[in-house]
Amino acid sequence: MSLPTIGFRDELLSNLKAAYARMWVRIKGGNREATHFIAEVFLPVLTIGAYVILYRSLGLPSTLGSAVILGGAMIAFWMNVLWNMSAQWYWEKEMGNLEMYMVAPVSRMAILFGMSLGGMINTSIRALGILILGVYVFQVPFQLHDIFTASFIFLLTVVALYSLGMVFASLYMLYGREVWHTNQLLMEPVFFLSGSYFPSIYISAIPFWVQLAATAIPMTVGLDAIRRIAIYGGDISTVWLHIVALIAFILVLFPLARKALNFMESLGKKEGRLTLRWQ
Amino acid sequence: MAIADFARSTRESFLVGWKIESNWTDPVLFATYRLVQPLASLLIVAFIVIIGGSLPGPGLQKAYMARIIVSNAFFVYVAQITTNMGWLVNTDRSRYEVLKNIYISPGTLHPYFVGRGLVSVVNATISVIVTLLFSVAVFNGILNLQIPINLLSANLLLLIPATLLGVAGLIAVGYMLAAVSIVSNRLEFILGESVAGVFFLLGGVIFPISALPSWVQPMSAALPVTYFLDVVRDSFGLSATNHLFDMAYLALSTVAIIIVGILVFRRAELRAKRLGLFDRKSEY
Amino acid sequence: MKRDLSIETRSLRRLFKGVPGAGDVVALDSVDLSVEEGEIFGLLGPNGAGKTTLIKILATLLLPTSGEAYVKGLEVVKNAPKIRRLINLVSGGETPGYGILSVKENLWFFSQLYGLSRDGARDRIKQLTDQLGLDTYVDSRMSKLSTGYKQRLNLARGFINNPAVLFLDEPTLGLDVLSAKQLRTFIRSWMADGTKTVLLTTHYMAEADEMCNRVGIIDRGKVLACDTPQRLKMKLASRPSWKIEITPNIQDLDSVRTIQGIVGLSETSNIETGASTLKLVLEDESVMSSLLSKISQNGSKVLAMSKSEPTLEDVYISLVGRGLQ
Repeated sequence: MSLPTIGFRDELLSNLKAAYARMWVRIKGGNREATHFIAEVFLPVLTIGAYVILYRSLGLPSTLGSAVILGGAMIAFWMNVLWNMSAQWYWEKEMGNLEMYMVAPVSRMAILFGMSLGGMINTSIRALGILILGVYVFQVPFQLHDIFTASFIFLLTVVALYSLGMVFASLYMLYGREVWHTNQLLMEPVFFLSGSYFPSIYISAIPFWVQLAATAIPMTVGLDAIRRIAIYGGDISTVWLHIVALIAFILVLFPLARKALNFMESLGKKEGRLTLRWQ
Repeated sequence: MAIADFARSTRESFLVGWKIESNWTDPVLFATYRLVQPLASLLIVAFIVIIGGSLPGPGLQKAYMARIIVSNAFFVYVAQITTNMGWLVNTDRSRYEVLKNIYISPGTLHPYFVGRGLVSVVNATISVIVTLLFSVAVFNGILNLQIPINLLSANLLLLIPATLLGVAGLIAVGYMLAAVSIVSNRLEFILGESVAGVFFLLGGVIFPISALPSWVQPMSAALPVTYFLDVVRDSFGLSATNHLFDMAYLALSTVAIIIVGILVFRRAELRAKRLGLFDRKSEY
Repeated sequence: MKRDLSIETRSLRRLFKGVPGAGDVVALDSVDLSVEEGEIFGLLGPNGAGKTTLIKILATLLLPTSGEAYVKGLEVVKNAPKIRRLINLVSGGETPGYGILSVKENLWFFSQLYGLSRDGARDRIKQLTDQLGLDTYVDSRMSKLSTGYKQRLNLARGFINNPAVLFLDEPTLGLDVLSAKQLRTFIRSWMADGTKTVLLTTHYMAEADEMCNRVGIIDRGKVLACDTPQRLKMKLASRPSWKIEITPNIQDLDSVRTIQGIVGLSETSNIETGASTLKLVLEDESVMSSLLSKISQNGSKVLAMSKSEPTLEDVYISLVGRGLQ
């Protein structure tokens, strides 16, 4: 039987097309509803506001307010990673789409990659909105001199976060309603450990083991580095260790996601739970 | 509808809700989940105060810590009831597709929402108790911070009625959110969290309302949640407000919210029937 | 494997974990099946017979417990990525896609999962939306479509990559009679070049009879018969098929089934008239006297009776022992 053979170039092109299409769906779907966009910018500012006022009422330095605003912007990425990356196969399964993806001749990694790109773009716009609104409303100080390093670290942090999201997406693949509970569990505790609302590493008041646990989350490392540059006027020499750590996260997490995805897909097919809904 | 029927339907709805939301794992894991989230929220603010205390200045403000522990623990009622009831219509209409069947069965829609709201109340109560116990164990036990909080000395004559009133008002708010959710599309993602966010900022949860800009303070002073948390803190001896006024305001505002909640729900119900929204599926 | 086989299974078996204490559930039990290129092959069977399990294994969504399955000569476990380039799957009742996107946008997205070029995708979407009667809805959001149109969109998705092998799992579910007929016409025209293969599951006997080159009758995971509808009916020609209309209906149908010489029996009730129609396949005519006395014992009256040419439904009844209704 003569079957068409597909070369590496064609396969790559085909996967890139799929990734682009998935990214397009995410951007298009995510921005079609103005109320969602507005809510996703204003809601975090409410919480940020509460913490900025808390700092003020405690008479603490205003730079901590700046740190909260950066943290609030970064939380937008974490929320997107949790609900729109990690839980995405679950949503697709509930909508009846997972079957469609599973019979399509493209790598699931391409789909996840497309989702990630779309998520990064959508969330970057929202994070920028949170940042601008937060700074405008609360008038907190920033000292950004090295914009290149700040942007580079931001990019590394986001890539590391979405790589983690890909790992979670694979692990969540066979989840049913546990998705809700697991995601709930990964919100506040991660906000706490990653220092989204207060610096959680290099602070003597925080127990060492808490700081150590915190560095296992890419957001902690990235956020600390961005704060050092954007709030305290640091440059690449002050954050090189952060950069190394973030690159290490990416190098570990991305291949891990691929392995986890293959493992979970195979397990799902074996147990017959891959496209089973309402679990 | 007879009260007995209403109570029976509420109980059955509660049991369904309990099975869906709570009975998904073993009790230890369930209690862990119920603890981790509120405790992490509490630790965020607690560490802000601890870090503040480590900086040059007045040192650790222990009374402030006590205030934050109690307010945060009881804010779980607000967060869980508003978020879950804001989301309820979406799951039951779009995901499980049962809302229309509940609606056409005689007289079950209202007790259904109340019953499902009560599940959040029970879940939140477990969280509140576990969080309070754990906080005292961590801050006064492990970290030995000597925070002035004594759970055994709580004035139950204040605490219990305030909690009952606060929870009743919150279920009424949840009722309104469910009503809005029925007649709106895709707002369910943001409804509950928006309301919880506003209450967190304006309810005097982690700072006194006097810390808010002066033009916001009247809004804060009008919110029943502010008084609910005030009385709760009073019952632990953590603030000295006028109990009688606070309780009276809480009681009156709760009655007012329940009335408004029922009116809003009726309007939404009529609109939903007119537009055929009881079986609408959400767009994703 | 022969060159012209599009689908082949050998001793295919699939078990699922049952409820605790009840043991495993056998969804497929030693299924041997061959479908040639250019064929529309129908799988008929009651709910839970194993039809969807078989399709899921062939579509690379599920692993078999044992046995082998091939699509276009490729083994499904080892060659899943290669098989996916050749197939597509439409599950009736499912509505894959994103409600917030329009019909055209959804189809464009699906086309990109199969690597179609921009022009290729545009032309294919135009062709499919025209042929499946979606042309007036191309710019409507999917969430605004009626159930029938969502199902059409689902079908258009299945044809988007012009697959060599198409799995249709109850494709006319949710379609009205006219739309189902249009779909059948469309599938036949799509298959005209003889290079495509369709594996179809359906509950509609007439649909299978009309469309399928061959049908397999499956029950409790076993393929009970596999042949062309004509030959299956011919095999039954020696066994008389009777249609008996009675009133009131028989409560204990199993007592009729146990009459010696009754091969299969199905009953359909008419709610308006209160009458029931029994469709029977008999070993021979001698059973009739026992049957009529049983009806009489039940207190039912015979309103009409007729001997009929065997249909695919009769074949099904004789093999499975009961009807689909």
